[in-house]
Amino acid sequence: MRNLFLCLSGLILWCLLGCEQCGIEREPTAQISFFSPVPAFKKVRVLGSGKDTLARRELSFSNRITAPIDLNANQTTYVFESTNRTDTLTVFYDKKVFNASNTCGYVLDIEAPFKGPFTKSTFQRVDVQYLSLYRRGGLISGNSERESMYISVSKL
Amino acid sequence: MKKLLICIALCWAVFSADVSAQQNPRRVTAVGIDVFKNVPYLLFPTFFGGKNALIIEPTIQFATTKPNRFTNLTVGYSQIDQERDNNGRTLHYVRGFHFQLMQERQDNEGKLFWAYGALVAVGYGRGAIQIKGDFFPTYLAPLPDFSGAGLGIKFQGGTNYDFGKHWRLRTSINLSLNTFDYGKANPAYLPGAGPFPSSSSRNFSYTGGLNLQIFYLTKQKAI
Repeated sequence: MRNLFLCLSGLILWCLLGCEQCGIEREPTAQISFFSPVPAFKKVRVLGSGKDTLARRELSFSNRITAPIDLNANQTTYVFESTNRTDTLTVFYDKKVFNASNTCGYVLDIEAPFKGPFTKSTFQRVDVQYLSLYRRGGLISGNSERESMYISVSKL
Repeated sequence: MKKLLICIALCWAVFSADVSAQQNPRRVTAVGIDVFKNVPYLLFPTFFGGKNALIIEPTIQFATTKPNRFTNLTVGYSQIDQERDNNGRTLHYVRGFHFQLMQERQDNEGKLFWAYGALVAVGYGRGAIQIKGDFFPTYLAPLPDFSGAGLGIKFQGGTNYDFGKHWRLRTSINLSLNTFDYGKANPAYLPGAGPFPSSSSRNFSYTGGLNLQIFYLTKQKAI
């Protein structure tokens, strides 16, 4: 029993100290949160994407939307359609490739644009937070491994 | 450069150990080539994570003065377009050469053999980070060109099947322990050793595999 405890402790410690997430590994996403009364969106379109619209289930049950980020460009535009209004939100970013570590080698990541605006939108107040997907140490799992941005819409 | 010199020294040590033991000039007993290395990549490129593979590994087998003991010299060329990491995150176009020297011992009937030796490899290539998209097209971010060298210690064991007067089919398994340095690009293929498990560290790995070789025996067998 004591050995089992030591083994488990060692495993957890190894994960906490040694686990690495090697930057962007799948198509990254932005989590868009609405902090004002949430409008009833009929459709959210992602301009330039093959699928064009987000699945309905992603719009219905919360004030958050998870939307894909286009790596082939330095901006992604989302169009929010509700009954009596249509809004657009464009988010800007830069991509960088850098040598992260011996384990990961080179990694791809997203960061705030070097110059220019972070967002452009018909919403009145939008803030964006950029998250690095290269992480070292700590337990790494779940949806957090795809989210490169938190976008908050606090005033429609 | 220092590693390369160590590699050459190690190979020379294996080679010279046999040279010192023999009294007569070395005689070529067989020449052969591996006919299996490309097959997995041709049939199941996705499963094995490699495409456009071309692996050529000709071998010359020399007799020694000791009975049932041989020295195998292999000079090979390898190229492979390799996907690795989660979801095929990185692509590496690896090209390289290797030089391998093995000391082989066979049983009295020549049916079973086992061997040990060393290999020196040089590799070079280029790479890209590949992100496959659900909504957007696949994105490729090019990486700097890379080059480097590696050293491996190899063990091999298998069986011989003779057919005709001059031909021999050799099936075997091999295991090698390798150290290598490609710089920062971190490809997972060492010419002569093969692909590394994805859990390998950049400087040390183990690899294993199967061999199917066809040898032409220079001396006619009695059948």
